[in-house]
Amino acid sequence: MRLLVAEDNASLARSLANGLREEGFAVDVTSDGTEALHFATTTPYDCIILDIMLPGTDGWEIVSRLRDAKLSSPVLFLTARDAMEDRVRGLNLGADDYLVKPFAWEELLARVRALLRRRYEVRSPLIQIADLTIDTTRHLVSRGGENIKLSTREFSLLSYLAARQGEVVTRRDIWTHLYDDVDESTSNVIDVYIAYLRAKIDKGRSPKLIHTRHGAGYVLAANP
Amino acid sequence: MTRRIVIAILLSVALVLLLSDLLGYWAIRSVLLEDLDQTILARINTLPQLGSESTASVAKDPNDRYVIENDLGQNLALPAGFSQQAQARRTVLRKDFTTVADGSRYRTLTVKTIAWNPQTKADSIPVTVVYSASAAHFDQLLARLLGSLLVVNVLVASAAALVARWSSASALKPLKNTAEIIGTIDERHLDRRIEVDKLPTELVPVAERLNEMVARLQGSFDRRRQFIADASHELRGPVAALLTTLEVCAKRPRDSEEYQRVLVDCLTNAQVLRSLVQSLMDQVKSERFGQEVAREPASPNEIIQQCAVVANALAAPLNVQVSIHADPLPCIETAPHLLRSVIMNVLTNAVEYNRPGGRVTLTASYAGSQLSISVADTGKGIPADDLPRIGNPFFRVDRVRTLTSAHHMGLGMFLVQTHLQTLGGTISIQSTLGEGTTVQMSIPAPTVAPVDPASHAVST
Repeated sequence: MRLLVAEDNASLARSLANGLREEGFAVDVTSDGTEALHFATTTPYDCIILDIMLPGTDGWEIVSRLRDAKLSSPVLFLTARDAMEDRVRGLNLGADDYLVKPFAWEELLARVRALLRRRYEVRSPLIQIADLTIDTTRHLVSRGGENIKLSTREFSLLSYLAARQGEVVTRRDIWTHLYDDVDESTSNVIDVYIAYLRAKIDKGRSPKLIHTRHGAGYVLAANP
Repeated sequence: MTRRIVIAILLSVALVLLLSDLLGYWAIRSVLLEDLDQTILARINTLPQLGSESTASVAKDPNDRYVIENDLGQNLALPAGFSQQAQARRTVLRKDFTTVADGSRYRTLTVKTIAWNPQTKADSIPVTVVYSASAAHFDQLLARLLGSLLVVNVLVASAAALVARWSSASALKPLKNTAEIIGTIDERHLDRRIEVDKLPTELVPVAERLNEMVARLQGSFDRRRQFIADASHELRGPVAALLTTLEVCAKRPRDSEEYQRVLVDCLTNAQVLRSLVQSLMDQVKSERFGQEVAREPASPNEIIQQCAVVANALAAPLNVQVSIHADPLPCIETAPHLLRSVIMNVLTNAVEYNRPGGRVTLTASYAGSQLSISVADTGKGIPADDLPRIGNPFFRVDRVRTLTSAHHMGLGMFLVQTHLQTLGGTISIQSTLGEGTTVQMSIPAPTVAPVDPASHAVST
């Protein structure tokens, strides 16, 4: 899942990005409002974490411009103002959630995950496909009751495929949603990770869950 | 207050009643007494021993007693045929009340007259008649009078008390309502006001002053509330950064380089917090000591020089040139730390909001007990819309906060205005976008010594 963090306090922005990357998210960071608006209009972020008081273009302006352009990336406002009218204003402009500074890290994570579930119309943090279970909150995967240990990258890829289960997910989608601008991987890295996942999830088990659609992409589903 | 008014009204009513009672009682008593005495005199005139020329007979009370005495005070039995001389001058010698052994009171008149034999018209004998008639009826009438006076008095006094109570209560009712309104005014209800138009005219000035006082308090509370809201808003940013940085860092073990970076981040945010706290303390101090700031002799030239040193140090890396054009200024009576803070803030603002290669010019002069200081810069200027808000706490023309200019809390100009207010000074700001800003300040300050010949114009 790819996130945008727009925050003008440099150390807060850095910590948010690092923390979110460690949770398996691909994160772009900017401290400028105008740049944030540019990023958000050119990349289909899965969630935008937006400070209101940004230099250049403020958070309110960014949200209303995004919604005017019919871009639906969920927006989580980070605000130092907890006056009710400020929160209502943000939500009315099209923000999806808000968090008042200072916030607890776990709460931020929980809210981001909730926004992502809503975006992919997944009701529960537990995703079940045949006998495969993915706990998106605690990063636990098991198949047939047997725990499977995945790396952060592998988990991100699996949960992205799971969020879009039954759909054909193109390489380009994976690239856009799982790799941020600082990532220096090459595009064949996706095939490598798909192979890793297959080895850990499908190897020696039936039915196979990860299917290749040649020339299109991959599908995670119980039936091919 | 009601009780006092009632008591005062009652006392005056009682005094009036007492006076009118005394007058009335005395008048009625004298009429009754006169009547009694006339009755007694009439009875004396018809005493059988004295005879009477008049045919009218007066009914005599069986309780009446009388003695007829001669000049020597001896009891006299007048010879038969004697009667009172018709023309005789009757002189009333004494009138008094006597009380006999059984307690009944008598009115006794002692009358001197002349008796004679009307047939012979000779042998005139001067006699003294001492006649006592029962005063029971008279006393009864007086007692009745007293009784009715008492009843009337009590009735009048009670009525007066009721009227006094009612009228004072109705006169004080607006005051009571006002007191109730005042009682509900607290820090959350400072928008309440006394309804002046419902008050009696005497109370209007008091109520108006009270309303003005509440309005001033409301303004000051609103400013305070806004200041606290703004200050907490400013605190949230660095606190959030500190917490998130530490929380993310603590989630798993890191290498020492990573810890080093996190520490530097935290330190930067902590420094922002420190300078915020410092600014808040400055503000609290400047408010607390408000008007009673200690004044002492100080040399403006010296203070300007001190500020120039700091401004120069700031200006050098930014390639900004600071010029000071100060007349030799007299030693003045002022609050040196406030004056220094004012000049320092304006001067460093002019440096830090300048463009590279820009200029800052400070000019200072003294005339008519006024210290005038103007600071002109070649910065980007302040938009006209923002000028009125420049003195608001935490206001910044550009909202960019960078960690390298951590002390730009937007409190500098706020402090300048607060300090100037304390010093009784004024400030005016002219700004042209893209050309620069000129801050002109005027501070009243009495001279304590003539121009010190040793001090001279400073130029940097």
